[in-house]
Amino acid sequence: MCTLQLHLLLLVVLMLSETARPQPSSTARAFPTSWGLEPVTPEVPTSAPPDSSESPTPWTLSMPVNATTDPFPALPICVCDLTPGTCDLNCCCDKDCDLLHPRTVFSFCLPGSVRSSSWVCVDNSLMFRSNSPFPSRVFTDSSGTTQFCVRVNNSKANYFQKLQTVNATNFQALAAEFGGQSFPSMPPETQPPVLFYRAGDPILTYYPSWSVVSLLRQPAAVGAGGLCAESNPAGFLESKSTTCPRFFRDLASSCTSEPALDAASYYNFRVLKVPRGVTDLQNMKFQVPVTLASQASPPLLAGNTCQNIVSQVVYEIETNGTFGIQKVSVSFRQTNLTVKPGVSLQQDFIVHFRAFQQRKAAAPAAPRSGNPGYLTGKPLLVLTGDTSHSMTLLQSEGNGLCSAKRHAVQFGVNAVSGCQLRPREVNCSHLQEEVYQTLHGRPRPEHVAVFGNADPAQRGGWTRILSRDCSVSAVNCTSCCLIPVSLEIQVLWAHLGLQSNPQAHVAGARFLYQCKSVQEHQRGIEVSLTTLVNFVDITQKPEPPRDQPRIDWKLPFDFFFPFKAALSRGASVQKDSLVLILCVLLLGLLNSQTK
Amino acid sequence: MAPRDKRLSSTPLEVLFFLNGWYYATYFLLELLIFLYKGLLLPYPTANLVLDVVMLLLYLGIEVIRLFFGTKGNLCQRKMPLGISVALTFPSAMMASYYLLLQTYVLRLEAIMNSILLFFCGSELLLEMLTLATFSSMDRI
Repeated sequence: MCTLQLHLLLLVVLMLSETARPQPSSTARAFPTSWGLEPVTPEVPTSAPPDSSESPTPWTLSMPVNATTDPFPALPICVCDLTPGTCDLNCCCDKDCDLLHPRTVFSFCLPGSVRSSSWVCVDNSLMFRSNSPFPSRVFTDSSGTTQFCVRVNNSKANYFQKLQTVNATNFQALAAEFGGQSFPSMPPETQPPVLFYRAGDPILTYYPSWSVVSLLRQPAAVGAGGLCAESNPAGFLESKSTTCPRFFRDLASSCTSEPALDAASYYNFRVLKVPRGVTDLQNMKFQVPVTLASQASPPLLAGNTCQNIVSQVVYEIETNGTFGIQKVSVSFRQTNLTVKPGVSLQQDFIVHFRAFQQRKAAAPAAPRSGNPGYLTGKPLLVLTGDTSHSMTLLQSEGNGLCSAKRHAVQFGVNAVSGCQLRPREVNCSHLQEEVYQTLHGRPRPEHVAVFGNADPAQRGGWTRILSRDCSVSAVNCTSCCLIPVSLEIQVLWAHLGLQSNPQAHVAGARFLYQCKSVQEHQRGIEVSLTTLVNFVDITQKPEPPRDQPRIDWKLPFDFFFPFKAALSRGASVQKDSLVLILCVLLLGLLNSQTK
Repeated sequence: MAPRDKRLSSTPLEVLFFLNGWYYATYFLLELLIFLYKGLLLPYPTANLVLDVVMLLLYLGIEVIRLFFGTKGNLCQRKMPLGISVALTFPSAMMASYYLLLQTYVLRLEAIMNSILLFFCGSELLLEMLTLATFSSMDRI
């Protein structure tokens, strides 16, 4: 009787537990379903997290554009609150605006009006639930990847770092570490003179009677009174006109003793062509005398009038690039002045620079080989002394002998030419000279133009051609004559500037000679000569543009693939698990029945 | 005392205890690695991290005691150790529920593992109750 009741009770308990079995699994399954449907609402932290909670963040993303910011931006100082009591536009931290969500009203937030946010993101499929004190969101980027992001209240991102203490010991180190380029200090006085005048440089003058080096003066009016400042120097290539008045308390005594009134004081010196002439003042090659362009008479006091005083001084200076001053001429305008107390004289000083006309008139402008870079096929420009011409190769006549006419070297075009030379002279030095002139042309090129528009007057636009002749001391034969039989002109060139507009320039050039020894006293010899040009491109191209940096993923994209596959196959295994549960229950029941 | 010729121990319960022991060892090691992972990648507050790790160690102690007393009670057919194991199943289930729902960051892997642990707790609780009932009825007879 009691046994039957016990069996019925066990059966009822089993049935109840069996019916309650699927309930928690459906509840657990509902969580990821509801998770994927709607994003997680942000949780406002109740208290600010401590600074020690900052953990290393290997990869962070910048704040997305459409994300809303913190409803209560806790900025202690609002830098864009410029008008007290009034709402400043786009100032999201202004308390006067009285807005809970300022970004919904303003089109943008001014820099500094919102707290800097740094987001730490992981793939959204990793996360099941977040109870973090930090606000979190689920973002979907353009590629469709959903990410779970947690915003870290990183205080370091909102404030400057602690300032260093500056004292006398570390000032120099900090200035050297963080300081940029500054104006250079005054150069020392012992600086050697420069090679040539530059624009604005003072013009050096030399008084041979006193052996004194001075500067070319151009008095100018200075100060409130406008008196003449005698020490104002004239600047190189600065054509200027200055005027200043001169006051005389006693013109009778100043008429013949004042040097400013005497025309002779304006041309009794020599002008140095280039500043380096100060090292050799006895050499007239570096000095130019001042020539008198107009009639000048010394001042004369005649009764009550001071005659022949200078009222205007005009300097005409001819320059020739880095060769400096070539010619200086001065002209005057003289006037008479009545002697009386408080008389004044207005003096004009004009300095005019003009380019050297002789060479320009003699040599018309040569055509350019490019502007500025070389163009392929244009002549390669070389310089010999002051003459610019084209690099040439030897050329043969119909019978194979060397011709007087020569072939111009074209930029970028490799060329080779050869001919037979029958020297007229049998002397070794004459033979060498003739062979050299045949190989590299007459006159011998010394410099090559860097760009196609190089000016012969500007030496900086040319580079020296590297060359080494055949040395006679290399052989031991006494009656042998070492002559070059081949000349290879190597030109290194490269593109400069924009890739869309490359400009070719010559980086360097070299003459390579192949030498051979011939008998000195041999008559009727023929020398076979060869010249060739080799253009070598040494252009350095920039790195190709790279793609935008991508997110540094730490994990495979689908971390839960094995589990998802197991779950998909778990639907078919559901019956087996139910069968197993029933077997276990039946086993328990059998155990209880075998008492 | 129970007669010697009667074997009242529950084999399904012993199987569950055995599997739960190995499963919990794997769970503990994986949780340590997961905490390392979350501490490095996510902004984990230090206080929360310390709390979670300390509770994990506490959970380890509870689980070890529960499984030991459960196995002892079942194999020795004694009601007192089995009762202690039944009493400790509730804190164990609370710990698993905490790691499933109330942790700072709950990953999907942790959700699945804690769900399996809760299943183990439920099954063992049911079988322990049945075994206790069997022991009590046999004592009366």
